[in-house]
Amino acid sequence: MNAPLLVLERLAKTFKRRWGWRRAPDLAAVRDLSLEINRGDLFGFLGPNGAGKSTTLRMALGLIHPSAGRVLIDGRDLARERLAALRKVGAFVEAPSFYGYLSGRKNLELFASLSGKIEHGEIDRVLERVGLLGRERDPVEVYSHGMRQRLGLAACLLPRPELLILDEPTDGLDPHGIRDVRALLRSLVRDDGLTVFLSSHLLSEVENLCNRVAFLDQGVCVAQGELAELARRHRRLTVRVDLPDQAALVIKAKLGLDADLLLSPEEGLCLAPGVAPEAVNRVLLDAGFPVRALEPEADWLARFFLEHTTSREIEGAAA
Amino acid sequence: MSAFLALLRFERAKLTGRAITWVPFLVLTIVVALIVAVFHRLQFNHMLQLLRAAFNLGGKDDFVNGYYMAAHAMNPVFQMLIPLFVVVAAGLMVAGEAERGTLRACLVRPVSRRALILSKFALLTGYALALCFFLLLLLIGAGILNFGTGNLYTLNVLFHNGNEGASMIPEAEMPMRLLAAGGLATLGMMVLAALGILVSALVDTPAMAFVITLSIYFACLILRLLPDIDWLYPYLFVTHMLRWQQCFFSYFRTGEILVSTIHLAGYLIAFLSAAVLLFEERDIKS
Repeated sequence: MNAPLLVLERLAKTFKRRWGWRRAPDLAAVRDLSLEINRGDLFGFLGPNGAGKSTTLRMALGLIHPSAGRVLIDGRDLARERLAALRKVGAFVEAPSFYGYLSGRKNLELFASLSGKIEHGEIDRVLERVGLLGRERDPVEVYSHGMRQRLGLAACLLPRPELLILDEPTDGLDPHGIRDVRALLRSLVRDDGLTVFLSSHLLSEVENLCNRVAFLDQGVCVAQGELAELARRHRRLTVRVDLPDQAALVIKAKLGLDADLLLSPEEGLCLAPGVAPEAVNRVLLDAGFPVRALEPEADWLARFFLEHTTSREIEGAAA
Repeated sequence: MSAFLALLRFERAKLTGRAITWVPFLVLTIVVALIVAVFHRLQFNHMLQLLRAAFNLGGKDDFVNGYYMAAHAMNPVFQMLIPLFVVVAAGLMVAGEAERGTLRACLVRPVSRRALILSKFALLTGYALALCFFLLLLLIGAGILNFGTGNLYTLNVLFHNGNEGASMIPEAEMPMRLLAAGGLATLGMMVLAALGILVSALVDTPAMAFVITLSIYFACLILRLLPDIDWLYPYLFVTHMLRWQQCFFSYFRTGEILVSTIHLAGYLIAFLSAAVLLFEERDIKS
């Protein structure tokens, strides 16, 4: 089993607040959050706006001091060995920020110099990797939002981190940019052996990219695990078949499953999660029901998200 | 040590790469040009009248020289303009970066918060030093080129001597006196820079940092001008910041200047220590 590269151990953060001059009730932004991100994981961190994702990321990077709990990066306690721990990390929180009056290359050189020495040609390598080679001498203030996002990723890759902590890395990118960044992240994990802890509220992004996920709601982790395992446990199966009510009786009798009629968008059998499609197909064919389609639920993650979180401010969930 | 040097290089690249860094130098050049023009046009009759009470002076040419211009122009520029530039730079260095998000971009890297603040202070000190001596050299150079050299004749009240009347400083002493005044003024600016960094480290916007730091500075200046609270003056950092004015007293009060230097060093350490301690505990939410 992989040793965890990033461990959040019973992390909590309470902010003291003021409304004008008056003291307001404290805000518990994160409560008793424990996560383990293993080496090689592409870990998705999901939650509605205001759930505490950014606060968690900031605590994981030492920007915000936790009220309780601790952060371990490769076994090093961030509170005690912050510098050594952060040497393994490349990160941006919220949006990547740069000095607009300096060129993209100069920004990369400066930020990389804070993390240690970089090898000759390293900057060209990351610029090429994020597709900015040729524009690196332009001042960042003329970069588009997408270019800044790419430059942010480039900055995270200098000098060769083991763990990337990224907050909405595809935010504001056009479809080409989104495709490229997702491909880059996959390649970083697969080919370079990096570990990625990715915060997002784009469900499709997490579903496309991640192998493990955690859901945060009002500062509390409401679910976490392997995405494939979650899908197996929570993804429904819709069976398109003639005479669905009779087919349902067959499935109940042969497989011992509860099946309900799905009324919308068109009639079909909606089966509870955990059913093997091939078993359903075989049973129905044996009973003489020609199966027109077996459709795993497309937006199961959105449904799961809505069932487990309270805010409705979630892009893609309503789709 | 190499990490701190890397931070210094990082801060220097940012400071020198920003256009606004160079604006004060342009402003100071324009101000000095204006001062030279004004000194050419003015006849200084009122000043001549006052100085004649103490010295046997014939006309403007007997007392208006390069040193006279430099010493008298230092007063408003070192009290008003350079503090403004230093406070703006301090505000941009921490609060400005917090607002832009570049502060968190630095702090997600293996950078010590203490080293970051100290490197910013070191650069700001260098900047203040550059501003002070740029102004001083410009004033002396332009003054001597336009009005030549000579003894410095001045009214004691202009430099808060505490005495009535006028003073004369021999020409030979003037380069050293101006240099000492510039050095002391720079030390004062370092204290203001430390205060600026302290305030800047506690707020999220540069505008807030400017307003608070300048309010503290001007409040202290005003208090220093109020009568009947002279017991308070030694505790105001501006009292010691302006001790460079004593370099233009007829007699050099070494003891008082030394005491003020110690006070300034104390204020500097206090402001800077507070900035480091508070910044280390601060949550970066911006």
